[in-house]
Amino acid sequence: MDNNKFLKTILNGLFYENPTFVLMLGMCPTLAVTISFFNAIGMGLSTTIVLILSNLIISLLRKIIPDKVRIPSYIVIVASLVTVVQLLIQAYIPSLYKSLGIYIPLIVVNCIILGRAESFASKNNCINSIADGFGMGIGFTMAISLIAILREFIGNGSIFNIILIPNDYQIKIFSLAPGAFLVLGIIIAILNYKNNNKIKSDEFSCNNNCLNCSMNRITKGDE
Amino acid sequence: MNFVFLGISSALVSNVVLSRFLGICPFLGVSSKSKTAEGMGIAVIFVIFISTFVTYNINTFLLKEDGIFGIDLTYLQTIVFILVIACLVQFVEMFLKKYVKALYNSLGVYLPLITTNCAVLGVALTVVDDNLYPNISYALVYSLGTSIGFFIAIVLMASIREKIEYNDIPNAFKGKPIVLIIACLMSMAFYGFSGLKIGG
Amino acid sequence: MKNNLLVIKDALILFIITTILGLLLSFTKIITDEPIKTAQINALNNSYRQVINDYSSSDDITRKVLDESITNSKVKLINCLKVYNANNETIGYITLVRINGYGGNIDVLTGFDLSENITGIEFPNDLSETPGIGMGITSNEFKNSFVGKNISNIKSVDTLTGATISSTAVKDAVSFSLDIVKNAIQID
Repeated sequence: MDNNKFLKTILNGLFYENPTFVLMLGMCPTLAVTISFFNAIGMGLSTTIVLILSNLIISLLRKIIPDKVRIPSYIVIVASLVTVVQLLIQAYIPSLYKSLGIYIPLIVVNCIILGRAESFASKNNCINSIADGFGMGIGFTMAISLIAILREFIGNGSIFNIILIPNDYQIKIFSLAPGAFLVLGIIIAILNYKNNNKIKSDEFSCNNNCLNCSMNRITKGDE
Repeated sequence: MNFVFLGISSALVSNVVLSRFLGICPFLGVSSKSKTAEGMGIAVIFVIFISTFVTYNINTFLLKEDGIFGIDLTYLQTIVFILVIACLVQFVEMFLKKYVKALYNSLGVYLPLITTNCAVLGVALTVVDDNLYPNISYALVYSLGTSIGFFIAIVLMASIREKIEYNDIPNAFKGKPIVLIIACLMSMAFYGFSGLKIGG
Repeated sequence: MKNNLLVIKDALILFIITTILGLLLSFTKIITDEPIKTAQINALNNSYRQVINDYSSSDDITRKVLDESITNSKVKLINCLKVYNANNETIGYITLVRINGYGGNIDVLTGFDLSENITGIEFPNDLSETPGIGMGITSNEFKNSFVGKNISNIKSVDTLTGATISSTAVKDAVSFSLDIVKNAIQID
């Protein structure tokens, strides 16, 4: 039974509650680093590592961290992990550090990490938390890699910096800012069409219920 | 003159949301009604300006090598800045609740959400680059410009969304996809500002 | 009284967590300090090698070459290096100057040989020029158009169509670098 939940949690993160296409969390890095496939994979894997470790640590400490100080604790844990990852990348993969730039420290405020910490890791045991971190992280990585492949191929005519389409046939707009919004919007529209969801015109995954939004609960602290 | 150019370029030319992709989550989430968008925009201006002031000084006097501690602690920027921002937001909320009740009531819900707004941390980390922002006045102008740019973008988006509320949007696009398409068009429109170049 | 104890207990736990994480962070910082410095030096040396092929080592002569008569209001000198090859012979100079381009600052790294001819230019730091237009200054054709030029024929370098400001800025930066190096060779 435990194995089942483990697998289900992973699949949940990968498909049913994919953080980018379904939950729509962590939009900032999604749009910014998907200019090239290399950047997207680098960002995705870094986020996955931070997510797994933070889920693990928060799950281990869930009985110890008092409720009143849980937000500062989560922030301190995630921020330290991100700084550790940042230092390691700066030391051993300097090219990735240069291309991701400011978006590595911004992993701290990536809604996915704090969101999963609050809604999953603080309520489940270690093994399942690791599964959730892994599933969400890899789901995120797959999603942004997909967007990155499309943007890099159509906009720059290349994959991994190997130019495949000559300059004249590249649609540059996809490599620029508007292209990011466009690709993401179209992909979500396609997924909506396939799921045949009857989505009302203003519905978001939180139903616009800001007072009960999990992010609001996180940042408000108590209760 | 330099300050004017810096302000305009950070607000319009490289707009924080449409060009630098910071602050997308609230931009997509809170922009359905213009009243709430205005509230969020003003709260963001408030928070970004104050937090840039505080974090810049902390960086100059505590974290850099010629600060009080004498050693290079800039690797702690991420942690220190995010904690400062979180505390600052709490303080601002308490302050507003006590002294400016009206503002608190209209902003109330959105203030805590600003902690996880990439724009705040993003601006704080960008302005501590010595080469580009030699002193604190540049940093403050940049932060003010950025937050005003956010305000402009989110209010524009809200007005557009209110206008299309009764339009016949294809089922697949209802909800977020149409917002993203609108953002794409806005971003293209803002590219027009690249022609702005004032002074030297 | 009980409330106070609870608050102290909460604060204490937070303090312990922060301390442990702080130690972990310092530990990581210590082990990554060396590799980071090495990576930065390697990146710098790589860019130097791109402008002067036989680059091996250099001396920083920035202080010596800064002369009142050749200061320029638009271009700022960041670094001037006297370059040696593997046999410790002087083979040329490298300058790093900063000029305001179209979207932001442009850092131009220029290499010169001993006859004050340009051996190559590079852009070691991030550029914020317009993608596809101003960013054309990073194209090999534009960069190579500077190679072999000196003070007498620097004006003949073509600017890029549609990217006048960006490419003129690079030209101005390189002209300034030529003056700096002329001064450097005279001083030597």
